Amino acid sequence: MSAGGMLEVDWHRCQGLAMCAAALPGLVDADRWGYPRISRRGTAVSPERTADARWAARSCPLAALRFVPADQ
Amino acid sequence: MNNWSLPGLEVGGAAAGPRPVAWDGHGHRLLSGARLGGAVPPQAHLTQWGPLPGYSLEQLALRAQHYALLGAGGAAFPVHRKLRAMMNRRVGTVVINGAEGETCSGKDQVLLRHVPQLVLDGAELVVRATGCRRIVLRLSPGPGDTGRQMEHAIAARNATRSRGERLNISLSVGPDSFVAGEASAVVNGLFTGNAVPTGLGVPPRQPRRRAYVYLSNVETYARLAVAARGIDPGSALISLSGATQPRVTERAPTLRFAELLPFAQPHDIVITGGWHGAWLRAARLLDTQLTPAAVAAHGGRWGAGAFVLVPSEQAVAALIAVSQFLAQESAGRCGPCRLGLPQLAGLAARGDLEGARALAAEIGDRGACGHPSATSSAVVSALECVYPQRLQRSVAA
Repeated sequence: MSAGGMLEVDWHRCQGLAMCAAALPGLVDADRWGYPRISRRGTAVSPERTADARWAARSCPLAALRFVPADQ
Repeated sequence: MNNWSLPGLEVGGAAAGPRPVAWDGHGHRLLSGARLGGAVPPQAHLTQWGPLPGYSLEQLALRAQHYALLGAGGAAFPVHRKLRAMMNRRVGTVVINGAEGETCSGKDQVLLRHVPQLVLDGAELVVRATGCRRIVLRLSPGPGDTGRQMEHAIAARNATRSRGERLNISLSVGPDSFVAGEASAVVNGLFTGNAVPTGLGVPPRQPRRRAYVYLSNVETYARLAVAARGIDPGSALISLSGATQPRVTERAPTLRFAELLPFAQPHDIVITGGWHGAWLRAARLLDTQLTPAAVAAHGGRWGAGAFVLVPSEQAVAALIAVSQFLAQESAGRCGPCRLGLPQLAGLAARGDLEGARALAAEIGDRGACGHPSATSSAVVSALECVYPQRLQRSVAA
């Protein structure tokens, strides 16, 4: 059902709380300041991690993380 | 060396130098019909270049593609792709980006002051091809009175037209900062009043509206106006500053840098492509032709055509000044940029190449715009150029 997608950061909202890194081990880690190592293009999410990524995006207290599903 | 300064930047407590906003009178293509001291009037412009062809979007894109026209704001995006992205889309605004945020660049101001009709031609081609009704010319409040001169140029152009053929152009002045000239910052400034970079959708749209925005740099419009007439628009339009008379010049691309910088010593440094660019010893550049490809082949960057000559004994002072300036010019909205760039400037001041490389990797390509990653590469390039012995040591290790 799921085709994976991309995780993107709204850099103006992100305050480096590092909760996404805690929620997504092996997919997102935090830099020395707590900001996720996600490039401007985003990080690709495999179909297996899609549910985790959606949940992490919903859980970001600053709504700074976005999951963009791949085109069906 | 006496009288040395960097345009718009304080170096080692010395005052900031003047920006290169004066034309030296050399024209090769865009400025070939211009005279020092004023703008080419509409009638003389028409005599030199002939009438503006009426092209569809596809015809205009084919012309741009034929001459491999690239955007001249720094990112070198192919113009034909930008034009074709507007196919079958409603374009709400055509933006002429003249907000030259880079203090070492003045070529857009020179084009606006001396050949405003050529720049307006380029925008009119896009307006006609897209069916858009509105043009906005975005300027920075920098030196000179470019805005007033453009009002005269627009009035003179429209005075020769019947009512239905007049261009609907408004002028808008943004803040005087480095990142305010970035494309998304210009679009945000125009439509929300807050000129900060957020990154653009591709192609960009007006915030809260469905219409698309066609935004391009001043020089790019002038070159499009030449290409549309079936004339090769190629030339080297260059802003020079540092340890040389600050000026803008337009030359044949076959010329070499040694002819522009006759007093440069081999150990002096040339900052190529502006503050986000690459630092090179003059010895590597002086025999190079004035084309983006030739400069890139020697490890340099063309960017918007800004080149700054730094005397070798001022290299460390310039490195500190430029890295601090780039850190200060962060809009401060994205963490990796706000926190990373001051630390990077600190490492640059200590000459810590290894530390700067590690921090540049940490900053990465993150944030809403290209400022943090472009600054990281520029500072690392500057350190490699200023401290070549550390580069060799780290390669050996």
